[in-house]
Amino acid sequence: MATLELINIHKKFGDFVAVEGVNLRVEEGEFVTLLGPSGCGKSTLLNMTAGLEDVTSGEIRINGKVVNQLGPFERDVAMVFQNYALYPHMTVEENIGFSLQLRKRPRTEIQDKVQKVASMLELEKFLHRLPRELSGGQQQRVAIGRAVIREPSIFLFDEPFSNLDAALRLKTRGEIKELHQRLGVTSIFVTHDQEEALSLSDRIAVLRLGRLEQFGTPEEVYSKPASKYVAKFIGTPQMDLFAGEFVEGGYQIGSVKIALPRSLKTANTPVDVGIRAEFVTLGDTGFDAAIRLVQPVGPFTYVTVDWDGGSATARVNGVSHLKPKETIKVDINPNGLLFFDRNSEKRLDLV
Amino acid sequence: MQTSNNYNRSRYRLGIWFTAPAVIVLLIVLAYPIIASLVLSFLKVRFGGDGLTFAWHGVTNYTDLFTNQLFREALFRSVYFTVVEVAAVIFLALSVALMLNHPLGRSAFYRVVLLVPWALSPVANAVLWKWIYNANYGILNQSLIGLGLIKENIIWLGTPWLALNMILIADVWKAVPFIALLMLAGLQNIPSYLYKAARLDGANAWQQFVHVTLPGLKTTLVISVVLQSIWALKVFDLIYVLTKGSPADSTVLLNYLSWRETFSNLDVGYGAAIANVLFILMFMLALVYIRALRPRQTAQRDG
Repeated sequence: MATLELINIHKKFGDFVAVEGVNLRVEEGEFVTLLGPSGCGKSTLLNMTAGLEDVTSGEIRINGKVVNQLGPFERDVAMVFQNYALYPHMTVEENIGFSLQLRKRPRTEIQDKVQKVASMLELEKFLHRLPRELSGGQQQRVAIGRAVIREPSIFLFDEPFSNLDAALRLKTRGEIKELHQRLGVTSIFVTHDQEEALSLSDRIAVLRLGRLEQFGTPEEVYSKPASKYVAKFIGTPQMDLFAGEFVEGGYQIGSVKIALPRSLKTANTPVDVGIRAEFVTLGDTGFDAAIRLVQPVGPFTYVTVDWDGGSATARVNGVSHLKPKETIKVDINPNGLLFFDRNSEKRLDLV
Repeated sequence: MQTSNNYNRSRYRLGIWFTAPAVIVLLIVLAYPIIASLVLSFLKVRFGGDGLTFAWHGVTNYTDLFTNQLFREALFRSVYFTVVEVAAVIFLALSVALMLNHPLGRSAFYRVVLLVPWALSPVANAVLWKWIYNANYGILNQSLIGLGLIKENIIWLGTPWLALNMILIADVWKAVPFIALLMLAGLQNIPSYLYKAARLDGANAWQQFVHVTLPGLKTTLVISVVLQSIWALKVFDLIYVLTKGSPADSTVLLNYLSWRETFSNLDVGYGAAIANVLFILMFMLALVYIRALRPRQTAQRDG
């Protein structure tokens, strides 16, 4: 177990700036996700932490010790790769035990440890198989086993689920979380899937174009996003954002005025508002709107409605029997409104 | 079922028509010479004033072969030549490929330069080496004397054992580029994440080479060894241009011997017998290597 500090990390590939001034401190035993779309620098950041990539400037500290000059192995980190990166000519047993074999550990010790790891990951039956004789999920577990056997101080996961189908992805997600709960090893997890990030992490670092946009708990990034970018990236369905304006007693979105408490301070700059689907209700009160889209997802149905100058998605419990083109009453809960500075896109705390 | 059988049968019949042209060409250029040479090797062919005469000779051509001192020597030399040539080519080609695969060697310039020896026509290559090895004016003697490594000219192609090895060097030079390119393609097929994984597992450069590069190159290596063995066994042009088998038949290898018996001594049946021995050797090699190409079987299957 270890702490990880990234201090003012920059990374350039030629003229291209991949990472720009990232500061991050990961506490002992914490599970932190680096989240962002492709090209946001999350994998570069992970590779630099692993020692597979040099930093252009900045410092990486593990347990307080600067590791910039150390190779991947000396940093005592283990990594699970997106495509598993299993050695194709080695059996499962050889793959998991490879790092011990390189360190010339006695045969019996290697066998014991491999056995232990394999039973933890339910791989005992496959020890003598080659990677290509395994399913994607089994290969993934071998990759995890190869990391676990080293008993590293930090686990690094580079989008480990992206080659799995949806059902397996959920199952493996649970397995990784359990593994983290059991071993308590500091873990850095890279993904572009916000749902994965929310469900796994103690804290999430949202990245945008090589910069850290927000670093907080899943709860914080979901309900108090630092910017429009985070607000749009996190949550299903995507948050609705409106470029309306403050008017006497409320906020005007097209033909609709959302009443706000008198005490609310308004800002000097133009303000956009955002609202999540759970704060939009359909029923007997509110303003009239036309139903455009009805999307059932099992426990909820997402209903998108249009009005003159605006459109929002509401979350309705259970299966809804609403039909497109029907008219319905819509109510927006002002407590759910998030305010963003239209120019800087940062969230404003208007109380 | 009836219709599906009919369908398959008509597909099969159509398939025969599609493959027929290729099969016919292969029969003419491959099967016919092989069979003709096999038949010839059991005959005694005479060139007389009244034309060619063929007489049944049984296995005499073959029994003659194995009692013949020159044949046994040529066989030994061919094996020596092949083993050393293949080992040298594989080692050098792998080194070159590793350098070309290194970030510093990625420029297309190096790959073009590499291809020059391979692009030369075989006889032009041989003539080139004849001049390099020339005892009086050759650049090799001049360079070595200039460097002070030798005091007087060495007759490279006039000393039995040395001549064979000089031919070997020329052949290696010619063969390295193609094999190096094969290996370069093989190296580029090894995914870079395997090296990353190995580094994280604590493998140093040599361990990465042994545990990632070599296993990843296995197929390419096998193919290279097969091809290069066959090419080395049938070497002809270099010997023809450089030494014609001299001095004292010390550079006579199997293929050259077969040619000389057939076209110089006009003993066509005997020449064919030598060619068939060579054919069988190469065929066995190919079988061995194709076996080695099969993917590794797992020791146990359970679960």
